[in-house]
Amino acid sequence: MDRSLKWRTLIFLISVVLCVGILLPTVMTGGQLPSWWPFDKAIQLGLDLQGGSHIVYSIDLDKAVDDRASELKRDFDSKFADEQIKATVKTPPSPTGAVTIVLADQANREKVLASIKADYMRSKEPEVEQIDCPATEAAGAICLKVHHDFAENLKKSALANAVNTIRERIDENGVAEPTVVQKGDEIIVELPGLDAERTAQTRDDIARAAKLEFKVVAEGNPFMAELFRHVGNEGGKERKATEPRAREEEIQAEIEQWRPDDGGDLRTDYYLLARNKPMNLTPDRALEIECVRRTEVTSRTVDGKINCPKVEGRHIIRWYLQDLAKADPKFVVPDQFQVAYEEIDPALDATDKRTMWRTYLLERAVRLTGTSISSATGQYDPNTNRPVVLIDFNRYGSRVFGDLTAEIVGRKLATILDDKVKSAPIINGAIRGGRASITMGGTDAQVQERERDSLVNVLKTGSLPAPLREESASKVGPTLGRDAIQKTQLSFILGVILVVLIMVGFYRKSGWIAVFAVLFHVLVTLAVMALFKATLTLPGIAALVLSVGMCVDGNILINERIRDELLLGKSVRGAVDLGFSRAFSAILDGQFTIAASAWVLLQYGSGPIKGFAVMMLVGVFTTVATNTWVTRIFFDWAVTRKKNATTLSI
Amino acid sequence: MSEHKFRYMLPPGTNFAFVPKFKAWIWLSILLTIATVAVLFVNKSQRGEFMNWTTDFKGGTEIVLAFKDKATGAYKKEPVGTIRETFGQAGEEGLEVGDMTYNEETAEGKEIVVEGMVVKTPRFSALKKEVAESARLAFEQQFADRELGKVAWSGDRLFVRSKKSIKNEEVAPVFAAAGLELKQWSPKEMALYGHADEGTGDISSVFTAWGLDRQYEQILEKALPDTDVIVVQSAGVGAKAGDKLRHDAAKSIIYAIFLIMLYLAFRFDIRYAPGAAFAVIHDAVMVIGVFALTWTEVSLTSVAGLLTVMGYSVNETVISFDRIRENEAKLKDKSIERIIDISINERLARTIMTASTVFATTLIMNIFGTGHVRNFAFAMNVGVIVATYSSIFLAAPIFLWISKKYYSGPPKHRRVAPVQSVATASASASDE
Repeated sequence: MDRSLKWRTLIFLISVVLCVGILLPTVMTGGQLPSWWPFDKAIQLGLDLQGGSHIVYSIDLDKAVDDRASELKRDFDSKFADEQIKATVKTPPSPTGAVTIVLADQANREKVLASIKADYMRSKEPEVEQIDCPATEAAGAICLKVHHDFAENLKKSALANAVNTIRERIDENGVAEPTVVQKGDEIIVELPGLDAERTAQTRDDIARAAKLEFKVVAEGNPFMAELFRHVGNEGGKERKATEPRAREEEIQAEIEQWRPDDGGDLRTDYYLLARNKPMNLTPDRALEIECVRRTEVTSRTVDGKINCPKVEGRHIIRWYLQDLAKADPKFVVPDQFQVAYEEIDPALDATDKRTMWRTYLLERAVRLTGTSISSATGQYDPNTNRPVVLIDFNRYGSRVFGDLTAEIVGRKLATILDDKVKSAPIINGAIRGGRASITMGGTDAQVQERERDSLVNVLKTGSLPAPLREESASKVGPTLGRDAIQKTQLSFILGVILVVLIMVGFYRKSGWIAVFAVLFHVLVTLAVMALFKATLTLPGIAALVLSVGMCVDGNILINERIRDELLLGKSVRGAVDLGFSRAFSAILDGQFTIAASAWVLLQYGSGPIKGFAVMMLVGVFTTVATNTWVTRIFFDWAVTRKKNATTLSI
Repeated sequence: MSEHKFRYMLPPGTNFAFVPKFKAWIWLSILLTIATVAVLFVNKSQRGEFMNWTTDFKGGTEIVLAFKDKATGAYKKEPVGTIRETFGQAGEEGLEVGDMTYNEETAEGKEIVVEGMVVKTPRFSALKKEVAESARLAFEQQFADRELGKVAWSGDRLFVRSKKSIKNEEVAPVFAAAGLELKQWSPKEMALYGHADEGTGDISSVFTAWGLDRQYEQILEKALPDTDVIVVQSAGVGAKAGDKLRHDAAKSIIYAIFLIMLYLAFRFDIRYAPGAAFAVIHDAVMVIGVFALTWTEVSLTSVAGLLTVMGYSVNETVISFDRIRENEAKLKDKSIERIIDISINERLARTIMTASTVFATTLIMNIFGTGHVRNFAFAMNVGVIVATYSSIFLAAPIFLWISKKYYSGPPKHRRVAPVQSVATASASASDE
């Protein structure tokens, strides 16, 4: 017996043990394995075999229409600037998609109306329609609204867009074969039975609007000055508010000043500040900030209030402003402005470690959005070493960004992500070159990094056209049905028995070699899948069936070749040698072509096609390895055992 | 020399003449391909669709059901298999039935877990076209004074836009007269459809006829007399495989075929490439044709089945070409036709052995499996037959044709006339 055979057998036995070891966590679920066990990765079963979570999202499609109104306002603004018509264009919060033009000189009214009609109402599918102005509007104002049918189309495409974006985001997260379908105005997402942590992570990414907007800060606005005076600041170290309600809510009024680099005028801005804190809220407000689930409201209400352990400062300020505006119309935020909030981490040496939120008064018009991004990459800021996301604008984006920054030199530009201000740096000069960066907040480096990667993922896949809200979550069983899976298992077992019968029936002892080789093939393939933590679905099993077929085919090829050689009168040993070397080229070429096509499917395919391709690729390598190496070991044993045999059981 | 006692599925030494009948087989392939296209269009005109798409491709209606014991009024669980069989017996096709567990708040404010079921059907509406149309006309007539804008059916739901409000109660008799039953508005819907759209003054409302959900409820209640079947939710859903997936699938398959051709052109030579590509395409078309002809459901799993068939087909063709290549080098004195015949005969035992093994196992899956698994197995059954056929009767003839037409056979294989031997010597050298 030659030594190489001993070594090969040893390696073979080790790999069998290794594969069994790798597969144990998949077979034995529920922590039966000792903690020192080196392998912890298991094969996940897909939605069709195991089921998973079924989450229904509703989508605020009106927001998409309002965004269109914002764009219209920008168009009008630039148009009026070109034609030197003095006018204010507003986008009032209601009705949905409204745009209101207030002309300084009524003489222009007919001209403006005619040009709007020509530009936006002429075609078969008019973009805007004129509506009656509400009584609160100044006389002679032109009130427009995104046309009903146009808005419907806009909503329809926004919904389709959202479905695609969600699908891409889940894919980026590495979840195999989720289901994302549209259901009326809602979107259903089904995630295969992932572990809880991974599901939570995926859910976070799905619902992130990733809406990136750039807006100009309206500093020194009389509205904020008035608010500052109303809330008051008693000074001192604590800088508490003088107004009783604000004082009770721990809202502070602050002032900030800066002088632009170019030595322009000193600029002054006022803002409010509030800290996160536990509060007792009315059920409505508790629901609004999602501190309770709808089904829990009754059970958690005590004396008409619900205790929320962490209410963000931005909500505290927002509710304060809402109540203030109700009491005094002077404090209604003017239509062309909006209040936005930024999260501020407390200074390292601060005694109060609670996170704070500050306000910004922004011009409502969106100056640039995330749609103008060409790419996003995660990096570290060379100065502070904090994780940052670098944004590269596309051509249009860089031009607009350059013009915008040139226009507002000395003022602040707010970067708003998902309705939260991320940063609002002072613009000291035009920024050309089409690049901006977003610095991650927070103090924990690991959290910052995770946040950054998640942001890169969502920015890459594009923003959702409108915010999503999780409506309900439930668990679904396997889409194939439990009964179908049981029947399939039975047919698999029967199939295996049949293969054994055919192979052993025709090739006798060599048939058993083929059977063991195929068993090894399946073992290795599954072990590799487990190492990758891959998700096994029906298409994956289809690929496994194919690769098992190929593996059997390889053995048949080898056996037939050996028979041919034996019939030609070769010795047993010589026939085995020749049989393997002759069959090898056919096996290799066949498997290589399949590997090539599987690789293409993996590159361009999505969903089930990808699942199929992954399994196919793994199967190709194990097939080649099994046929040329494992089968050979068995045959060599058979040949060496009976050295002088003239026949082979084949 | 010893006697070898082999068991054969096919005795060795066969010598069938395949090549002389190649023309006939090529014609058969062409005819079958044309027939497939014809079947697709017949389906389109007769049944409205090219193939029997399931919800994966065209969407449908998703209905969530829960079951209560009639005697105790408590929720209970029904086995998926029973429900599927019940629907099957009622003649409902292409359903997907699965468990669904969700939380529900009881009247006492407690949260309980309900083990319901989710049924996906490719049908969108239980309404007959004529009934729906007559109901719409009656509706327009009845409410002409409300300044109607748009009145249109979508599935079981009638979408209405009007200037003046139309109440749910008013619609019920109109629906009833047309033979439809109106579903009551939920409080949420009531709030939604009650008031006018700001600005335009239009009122949009939706009136739902009891349709598929009620029909399904009745099918189940008839079969399960002790059970109260509750329709928790019913809504139209979109396709799982969107345009992107379809686009990706088509693109990747085309690229894959090109890559296979490229590989064959390098590893073998260029004459082999088109045959393999045509064989793969032919096999895919045949499987599609059989699915269309038998009106078998086409789901994402069927697509996996199609990919599997294509993989099997490529392997089959490459292995057949491998023998031809080997014999081309070995039997230099034989004509190319003879080489092809010898090669096919030599590998016939292996082909039949492999094909019958794969066919037998997938046949068992076809017989004992259900639903998607069965469709996959069916695709494989058809695929094994056509792939075996095409590797012999399509890939080889195309290879032969190209060899003769464009290469007039590589010089080394031709029965070389003495005069030409000098001219071809350099060519054959470069061929080695």
